[in-house]
Amino acid sequence: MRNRNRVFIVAVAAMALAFLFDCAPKAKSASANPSRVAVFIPGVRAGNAIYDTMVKGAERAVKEAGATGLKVFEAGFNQAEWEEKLTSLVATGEYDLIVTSNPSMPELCAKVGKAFPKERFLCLDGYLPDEAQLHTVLYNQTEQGYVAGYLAGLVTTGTMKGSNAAKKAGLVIGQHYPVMDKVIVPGFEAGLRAVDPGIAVDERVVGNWYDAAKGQALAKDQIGAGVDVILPICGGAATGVYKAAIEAGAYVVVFDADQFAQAPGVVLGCVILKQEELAYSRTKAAMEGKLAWGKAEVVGMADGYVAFLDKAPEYIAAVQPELRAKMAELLGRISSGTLRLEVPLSRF
Amino acid sequence: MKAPARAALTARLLGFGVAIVGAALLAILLLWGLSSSFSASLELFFLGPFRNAWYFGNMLAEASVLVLAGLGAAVAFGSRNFNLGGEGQVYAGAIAAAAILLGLPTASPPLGIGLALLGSALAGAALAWFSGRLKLSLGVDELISSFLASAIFVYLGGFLISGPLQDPSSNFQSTASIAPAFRLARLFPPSNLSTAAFASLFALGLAMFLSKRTRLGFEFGLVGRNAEFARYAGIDTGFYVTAPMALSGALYGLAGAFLLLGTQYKAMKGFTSGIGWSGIAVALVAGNSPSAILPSALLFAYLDTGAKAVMIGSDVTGDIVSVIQATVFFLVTARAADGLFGTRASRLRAGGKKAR
Amino acid sequence: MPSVSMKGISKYYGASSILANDCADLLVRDGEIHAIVGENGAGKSTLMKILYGLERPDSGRINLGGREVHVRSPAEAALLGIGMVQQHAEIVDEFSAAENVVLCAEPRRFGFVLDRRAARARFAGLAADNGFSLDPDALGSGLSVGERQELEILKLLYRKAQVLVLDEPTAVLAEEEVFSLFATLRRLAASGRTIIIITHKVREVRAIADSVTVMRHGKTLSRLAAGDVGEEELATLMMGGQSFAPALRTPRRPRPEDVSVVFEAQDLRYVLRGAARPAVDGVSFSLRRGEVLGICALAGNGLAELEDLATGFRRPSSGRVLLDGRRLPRRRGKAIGYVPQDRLRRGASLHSSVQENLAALDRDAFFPHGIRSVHRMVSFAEAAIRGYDIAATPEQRLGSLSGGSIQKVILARELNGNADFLVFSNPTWGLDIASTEFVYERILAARERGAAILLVSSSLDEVLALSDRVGVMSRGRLAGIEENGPTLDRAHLGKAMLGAGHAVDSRRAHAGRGLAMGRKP
Repeated sequence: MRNRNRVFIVAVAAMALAFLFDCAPKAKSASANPSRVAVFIPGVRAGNAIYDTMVKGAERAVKEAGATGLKVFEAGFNQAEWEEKLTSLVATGEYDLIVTSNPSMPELCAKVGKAFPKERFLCLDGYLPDEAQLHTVLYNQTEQGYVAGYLAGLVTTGTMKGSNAAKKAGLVIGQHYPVMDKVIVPGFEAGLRAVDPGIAVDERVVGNWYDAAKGQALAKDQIGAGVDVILPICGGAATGVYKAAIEAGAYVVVFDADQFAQAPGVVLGCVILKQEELAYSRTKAAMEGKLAWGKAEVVGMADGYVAFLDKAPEYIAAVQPELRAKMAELLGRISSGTLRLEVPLSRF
Repeated sequence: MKAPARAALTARLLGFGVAIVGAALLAILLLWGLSSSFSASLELFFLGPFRNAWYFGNMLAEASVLVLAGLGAAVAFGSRNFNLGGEGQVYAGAIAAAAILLGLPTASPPLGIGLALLGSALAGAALAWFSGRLKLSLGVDELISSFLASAIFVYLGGFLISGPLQDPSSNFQSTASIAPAFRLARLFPPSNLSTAAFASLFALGLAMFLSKRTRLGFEFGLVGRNAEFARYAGIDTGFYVTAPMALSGALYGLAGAFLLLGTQYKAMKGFTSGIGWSGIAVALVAGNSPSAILPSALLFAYLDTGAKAVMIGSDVTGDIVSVIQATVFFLVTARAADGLFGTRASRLRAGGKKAR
Repeated sequence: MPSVSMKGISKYYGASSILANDCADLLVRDGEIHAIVGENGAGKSTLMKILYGLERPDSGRINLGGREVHVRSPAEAALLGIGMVQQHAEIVDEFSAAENVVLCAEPRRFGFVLDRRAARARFAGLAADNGFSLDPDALGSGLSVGERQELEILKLLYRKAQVLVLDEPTAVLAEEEVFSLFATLRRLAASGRTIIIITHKVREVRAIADSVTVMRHGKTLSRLAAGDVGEEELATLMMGGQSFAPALRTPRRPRPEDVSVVFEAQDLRYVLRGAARPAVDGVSFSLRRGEVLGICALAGNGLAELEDLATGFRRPSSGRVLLDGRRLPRRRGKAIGYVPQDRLRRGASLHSSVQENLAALDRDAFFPHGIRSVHRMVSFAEAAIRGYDIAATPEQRLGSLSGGSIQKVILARELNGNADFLVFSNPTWGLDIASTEFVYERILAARERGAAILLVSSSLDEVLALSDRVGVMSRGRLAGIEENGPTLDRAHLGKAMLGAGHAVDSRRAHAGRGLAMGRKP
């Protein structure tokens, strides 16, 4: 036993020494504007358009600023590990701006920032005002949900080939979280009711953001119950929803990204977030010192960061002209300001 | 120390030395093959844990939780009870502690923390004790039953966290955070190292005292090394099936509670991230001897922290780091598992013979 | 025909610095039964392991049938026609006898499926040719020790072995099983096979061998014709000068103050779950202070179960076991001293130290208030090491000791409490002559101080040498207990062990054993 203890004491002493040496002050670049940028992906990049486009936008901004490469870090699906991983990334001391995107990230960034006061965080798709190290940008997802709901409402009450008599629209979500429950779903429902107050919503929860098999099973079940158009907001699980819709001849309305290619004729419309543009413009602003830290902004259709792809040939080919006319009329009312759809910020 | 014992210990240390050096060489080889910035990755892997207070402190924080989990595994394995349910028991302990503290947000800190620790220990113990009991009364193999019970609880715990205990204002599948008064003081900010480390050291000291200096530890060791002999010597072997299982589960439960009190402050879905399994590896490398648990836990925390540093600091992706980590763990533990599971195999054989 | 000659064989084990073989020579003629005798550790097993390819010699040559051979592994030995039965049979419990025999050289259908019918047929043919009566379908786990040994021999014959080496084949056999084994060996020799058996029992050499080689301290001393040498002379050669013959001790007449009954078994019955008949069936006896009751039986006749019942290791299905008029406690305390037959598994913790093994029974004394008293533990261990002349240190791992030393550690522990009731089960099994003598002395010393001693043994010699009263068990029943003395003779007891109506000859004895095992011959 004594030998083992001795080995252990030597090992601890060696670690302590190494630690002391490493604590010696290091020369750090002391520029005012952040120039060393890392993108923190709470999940994985592959198969997730929101994260992929965020990286592309940030890359463009970094390149234009002539800064050295962009660090992209994928934190994986276990939410419980994000905080530690984010802290680890910041603790390297090699990045002064972290770009990330996810409604849950502002909360984490603010917490991690406490220990690293010089660090700056740009959080897209999230909202948290009055945090001096953060700049958050929230998409107006009330608008996004409303537009998706309006199209779905037109389809389920309409006379398209796949539409049935039942006035029922489907919603498949990854999990419940505040923005979903308080912004997106109410917006979607408001859009549906704007078409016909009698439309029912069939809502299902996958429980995670990747299980395509479960997504497919849930969608199949909805279709069996009379649903003819589905809005999937469930990450990778959406591919299962597409499959079920293709098999049953039902329709899908898509959130966040251009997904027409996934199922032409089945995907009727996409209400997208211009994540790449937003990531580009806000990263560029941060690097130029033009971003207001401590501020939280909301961007929507009027700013061009939420958009309905009404020029897409797949949309024109798949949706009846009279429905498209009604959609155009709606979009006009939103961009002209006649119809104001506000995010209920007070409820955060 | 007398000559033969010293020779045996030297042989054991030498064996581990070879395994660790082999594992290190393999890690170097993998990094060389898989990383485009080989020398930087190498430096991160081996020196990353000492890079700054965050990494160093986290390594110690991880080691302090692994000490409890490792003790939990060692308590079971040392008496030849195979508790593979650590993961679920850590989860149970953390959720119990969270539920208690969220239910009593205004309790005085000593009372709240005391109750939370008690509750977590009981929750973990109950889960493991159940498997020990099944083994005694129905002859159900505790290796299987503890594993299955734990797997079920991981799902049940996920349900509790995202259901009744879910914090409605959080974007995560998580309970609310416990009141600041209950949070253990951080020793080494910004790292996760907290006063929970002292609790681990205390538990370690207590375990060493019990195993080396008391009748309980002596009988426990006799049962573990040869149950038939223990029975022959008049020891109540049934007690040493359920008691070590319950104690093992209690230690796992405490590991979960300290993870909550010292590091996470809230129970999130999946937040135990394999501590139950790492505890088994720690115990195997330590040969179930409490005095070797601390170095073993530090070794694992070091490897884990180094791997994380590589993942963050270089172009090597998380998947590849996991492969390197798994390979290293495998090499180190395979060497240790050899003895333990060899004995189990012969025990099963002997059991088969006795049944005729 | 294969004759075996080994010349100048030396083998040094560096790790334990033991010169196991020191220029050993061996000559065995073809068709001969040759015995190698010597004390424990004389180098007999090492020499045979070299012949079988399990060990490589440092020097020396091996000739087989006049041709020099190099045996590098047991597989090469098998190709050369050499087979060895190890001390512990290597039999798969879950396989049938036939499957065990063909294992690794199975007859196959379509090249990969085990052909069970062919395996049974080959097994039956082999058994019939060589006079075995094993059931081809019996599971390995259901075989008696003797049957397991027969199975091992069949395995070698199946692989066409011409030279058969048996390492201490009789050590685990009861008297009657030994007769049967010897008959088998004689048949095999008559059919032209060469047989080498390792033993340290002088009596057996004259009973079975044609010639004998004596070994001592790694050297081969002399090669003799078995018929020309007396038991006394062989023993002298093995021991190196001292003569030894197991002395028959005079039975002790109980003193008046010793007549109180210490231990009582009342109509014990024990039925193993699923067994057709009870393993112990209506056994009653009582033990008084200061006497040794010896009970002898063939393997499989309930002796092991009786050992367990008398020590509380198993509970009787019916009947009572009383110690000082009370039922046995649920857990054994120090009121019973117990030296079990299975000393390595039951009697000792091989991975614990010598002092921990010594302290395992009387834990109240070594852990006052539950805390270890290092002083008491070490001083007791040192006293035991001195008093029992054990070659070890207190901290040494028990498993690193020799069999004789381990038995001494067990004795030191079990006799320490001066228990009034002692149980010894085959206490000298596998020990050399010096250790055997030591154990006998201790048992008789315990008798002197007034302990009641139950000796269960499968060695009739042992029972007769130590007991004041003698009983034999057959098929679970205890056949009359008699005073030990000149009127008792081996033939008489042998009859009793087989039950009434069976004479003691090897053929009938074998049939009797088959019945005793409760299976078809």
